Amino acid sequence: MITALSTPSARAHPLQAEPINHAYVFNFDQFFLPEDPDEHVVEGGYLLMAELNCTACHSVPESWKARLSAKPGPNLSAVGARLDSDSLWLMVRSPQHRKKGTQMPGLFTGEDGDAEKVEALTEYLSSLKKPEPRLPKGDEERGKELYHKVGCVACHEPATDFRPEKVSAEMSVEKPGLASIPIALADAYDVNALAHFLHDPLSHRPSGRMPNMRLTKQEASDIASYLHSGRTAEKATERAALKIPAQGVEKGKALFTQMKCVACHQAEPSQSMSTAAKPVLNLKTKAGCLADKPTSGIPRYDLNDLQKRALRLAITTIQKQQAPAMTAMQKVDWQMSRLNCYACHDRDGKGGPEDPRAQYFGSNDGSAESLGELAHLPPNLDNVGRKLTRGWLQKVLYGEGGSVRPYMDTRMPHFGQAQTEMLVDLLPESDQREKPVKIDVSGLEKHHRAELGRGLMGSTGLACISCHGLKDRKSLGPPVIRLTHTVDRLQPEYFKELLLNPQATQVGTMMPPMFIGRKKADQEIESIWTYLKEIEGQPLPEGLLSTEDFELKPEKLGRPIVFRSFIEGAGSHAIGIGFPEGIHAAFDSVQCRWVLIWKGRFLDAMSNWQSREMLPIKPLGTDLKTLPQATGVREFNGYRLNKDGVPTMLYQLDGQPVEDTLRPVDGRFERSIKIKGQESKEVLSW
Amino acid sequence: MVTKSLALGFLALSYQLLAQDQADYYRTVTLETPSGVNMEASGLAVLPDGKLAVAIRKGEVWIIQNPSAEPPTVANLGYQLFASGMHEILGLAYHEGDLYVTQRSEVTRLRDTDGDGSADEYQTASKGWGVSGAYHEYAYGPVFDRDGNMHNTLNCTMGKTWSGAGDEAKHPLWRGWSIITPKGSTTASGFSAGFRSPCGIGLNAEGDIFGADQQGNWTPTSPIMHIRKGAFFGHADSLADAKRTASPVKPPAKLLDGITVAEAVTQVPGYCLPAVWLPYVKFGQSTTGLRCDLTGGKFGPFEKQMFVGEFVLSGINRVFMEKIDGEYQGACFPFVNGLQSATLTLNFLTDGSMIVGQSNRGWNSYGNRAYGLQRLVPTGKVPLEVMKMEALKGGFKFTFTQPIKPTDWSKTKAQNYTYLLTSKYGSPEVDPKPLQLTDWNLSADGLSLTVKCSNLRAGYVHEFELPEITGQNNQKLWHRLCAYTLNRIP
Repeated sequence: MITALSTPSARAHPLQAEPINHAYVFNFDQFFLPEDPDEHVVEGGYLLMAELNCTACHSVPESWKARLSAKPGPNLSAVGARLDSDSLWLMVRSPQHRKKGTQMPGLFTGEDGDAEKVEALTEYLSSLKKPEPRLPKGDEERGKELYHKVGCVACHEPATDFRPEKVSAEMSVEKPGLASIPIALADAYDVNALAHFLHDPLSHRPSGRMPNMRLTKQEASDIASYLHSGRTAEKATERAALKIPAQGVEKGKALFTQMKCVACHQAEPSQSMSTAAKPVLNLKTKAGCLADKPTSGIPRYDLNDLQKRALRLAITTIQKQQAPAMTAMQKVDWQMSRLNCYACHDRDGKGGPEDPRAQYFGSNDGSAESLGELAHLPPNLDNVGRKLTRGWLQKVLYGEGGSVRPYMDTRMPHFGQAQTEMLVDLLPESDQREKPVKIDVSGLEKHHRAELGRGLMGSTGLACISCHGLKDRKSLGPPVIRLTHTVDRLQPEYFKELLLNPQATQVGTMMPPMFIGRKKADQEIESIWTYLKEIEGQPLPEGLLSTEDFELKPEKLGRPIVFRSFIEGAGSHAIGIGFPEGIHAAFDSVQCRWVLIWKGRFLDAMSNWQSREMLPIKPLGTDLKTLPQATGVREFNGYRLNKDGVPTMLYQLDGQPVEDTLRPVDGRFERSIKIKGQESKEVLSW
Repeated sequence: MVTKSLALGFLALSYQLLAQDQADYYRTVTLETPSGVNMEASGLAVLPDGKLAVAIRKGEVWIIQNPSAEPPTVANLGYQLFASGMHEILGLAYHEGDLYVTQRSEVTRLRDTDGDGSADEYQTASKGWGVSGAYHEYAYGPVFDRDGNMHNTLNCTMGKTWSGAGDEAKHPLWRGWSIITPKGSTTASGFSAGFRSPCGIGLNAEGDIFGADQQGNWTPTSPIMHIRKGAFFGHADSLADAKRTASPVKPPAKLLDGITVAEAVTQVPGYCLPAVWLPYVKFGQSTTGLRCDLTGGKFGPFEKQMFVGEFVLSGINRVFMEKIDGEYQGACFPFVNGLQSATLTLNFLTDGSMIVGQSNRGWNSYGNRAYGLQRLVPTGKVPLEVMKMEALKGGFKFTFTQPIKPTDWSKTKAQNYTYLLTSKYGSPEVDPKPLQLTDWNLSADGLSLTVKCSNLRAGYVHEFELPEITGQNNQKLWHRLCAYTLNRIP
């Protein structure tokens, strides 16, 4: 480890994050401070009891059970295939030493017999192997890009040698204020096992501690490869020095149960705790795990003072009273805290990535940039329970196909059905409106209204398509959510509420208030809903289909067409000239020379005339020829059209004014160059 | 929460105002446009003979022979194509006998040397800024200063750059700047920095240059700024070019992310506050072109004030500015909303009516037509409005367009707040406090009203929603909302 630290590239790596010296629970550190009053800190105590798995050993009274349900640790059934025995030995002997900030407690204080127990457990764990298929070979560079862009850095440490695109060249990259969830074992993992873990973390950690980021196998391998870069297997030198004889797998297996490792970890089926620990009602707040001096065999968490205070407050409260009833809103908040949804999402003013982490979230679509944060940050979740339908909540939380923001680099991870399905009930209950908006969605009976809705969405109506695409069609402007799945996704009441007053309904939306002062807003919104409901088989709104022909046709006009644009091969200051004779040229007004000539069709003006993206255009015709570079110092002055519309390009060549004209003659270009009144001619044939 | 509820209150108010009939004071005349031409009007120049030159985004310039003709049919207006083939024109000016258009990559001077009514000379009048191929690199202007130098504004680069643009894809020069092209030269260089999407550039009555920018990163809400040499208005992307020897802007050692604009004045050396902030949503979402009313009163009682286009609400806001300690600051007022399409640019015709150029390509607007031209023609009935709002040593002075009756001034809702200078998109209104108002005093002639305020804060917007006010002729106050950007307390 020390040698790895000394090389500069390694120092930049996420594995080299500042070490954390206490059992790190992200949301606890995010939302609880030493100066907070007891009434608040006790809530943090509950969070720690659940997240640090206290209740796996210490039972709580019935009324507290649901809230403080334990959160199982990693499944160890194939851990021997993931970690070599030295890494296992180090982790078992002192988890806090091997993985700073880990939530795993240590069990050994170095008393007599501890060394043998550690060795036995190591032997047992090393014996747990299961063959796993080879995943594709990973690409370190791609992995680095993915690690920083798909959302890993919402919780984990960004590398100091990765610069988010959004940070201006003049700004230094701000470091996260909040510590990162440690990944200090990533490099000890076998690289293929790491890729498997990244691809399907829930099968290793069913509690959703690490969510499924919906990575492909290739992407998982790429990130594994990046996390593995420059690592060498770690040697437990102390283990070698101790020279403990083999203890036998059976002894380790027995210890695994006796020492209550099974309280958190599953290794083999049918293992269970032989004796229970003290129930919370009988706990003393200065003994056991909370004692000042650790005892061997008693779990030792590295708790800081605030964590100890929080746990003591929680224990005393549980001993005193029944669990207070929680509203649906509080239950949502509790579950979002446990799952760390707040690392990415803001809900009711709480959470969302801190700025130094938010800057890594990016967009893969250039035309989304003007949407600001809406283009890259996970959405605000205010009122989401009355926004999304149950079916869509299921898709988003633990199903497939719930993503509607393909322009974002990040993805909504999957935390496992067991961890999230309660939200499908809780969110709608929590977010209901006192007086729900009324909407009549009986559109089928009044079928004609779908057509009205289509008209409103189109370019001659309210032009929803300026920003929203539909089906396979992009919008005319920014790539805001396509409306294809609207009726499956949104509750109709919310749809209407949003359209009537976007800014008040959805915090931070850029949607313009299109229905202000419209007398028939009710009916119009219902018609749009009806259209979206019946969209299969319906024509798309006016304007989405580009029916106009933007091809420039000089032969039809009977005169040359001069057209400035971004032209492939002629740069961003190009001037295209199309002649009715069917041969064309492009002039680069920076280099002041003819760069391309071609035959047949000229150019398509769509990019200039209709789209927002302003993509470079390609010569449409055939026989495209690139002309040789020019010499001399040149400066563009413009052009002059003669009576027939033929342009003469004007520029300075080494301080002398030049007039440069192409004219089609018998399928070739005749070029005339005038310098100081002296004309020379050449023929361009190709 | 305070911010939120107040903001929504104002929002509801402005919706209500939309319904009010502005036709009492200004008639809206919609100009018919030739079929087959998307008249996405992005630049308007009035020629000495009263004709109107219209630049459109697809790269053409049209001349309208009789822009005030009614009924405004194509035949009556008389459209004539003057120039074509240019690359997204977003600005047009008439200067010393010639038309100047701003394309993506250059300013071009157009001349009709043979007098056949269409341009035959397309001369490069200014160039030298970077064009990387990214879609957001819009270029606006020009305007000409007192000495005949040309000024333009350039968006900062957003979106994907194009490798085909060569070195300019790696670093496009002067993006997010206002540029100057000295008289006699055709090469532009940086003049002031820190813009995001400065869609408006115009002169005030004194010939000072003003820009209008749009909310986004490093731009907390849409501002109107006084453009002068070496000023830096806060957007970080422009600072890369501040290191050049040609740069008149001294780059701050460090730009702080997330401090208030009031703090930035002291903590970021060189940072200049805009003269006026237009609070988001209340005054729309994106300012566009701006123009000073030099109609000599023909357009109404707002002579020498600035009118600023508003894209999303398809409207126009009004801005009054004054100089405090030699620096411009002032107030904004709603003017009209609900035009047929997004306002991009505006100007005044020789008859004193306002002509508005419109296009909503790329972003939606309340007005649902894709493009067009409309005129606002004063009906002769003078609206009762706050004509000016001036800062006093310990309060404000409102001057009305007509004498008003006294009312219950305690019904005034007023607050001050500031904004964050941040790399995030826009800023909420931060640190809001209700204004402590006392000593309302209406002058004997009923035209001016003063109020004392015990908690004025420099660097803060002071926003007022006045009570219902009735004029001595029983007319109702047209707009009750106004917001004064108090950069300096007199």
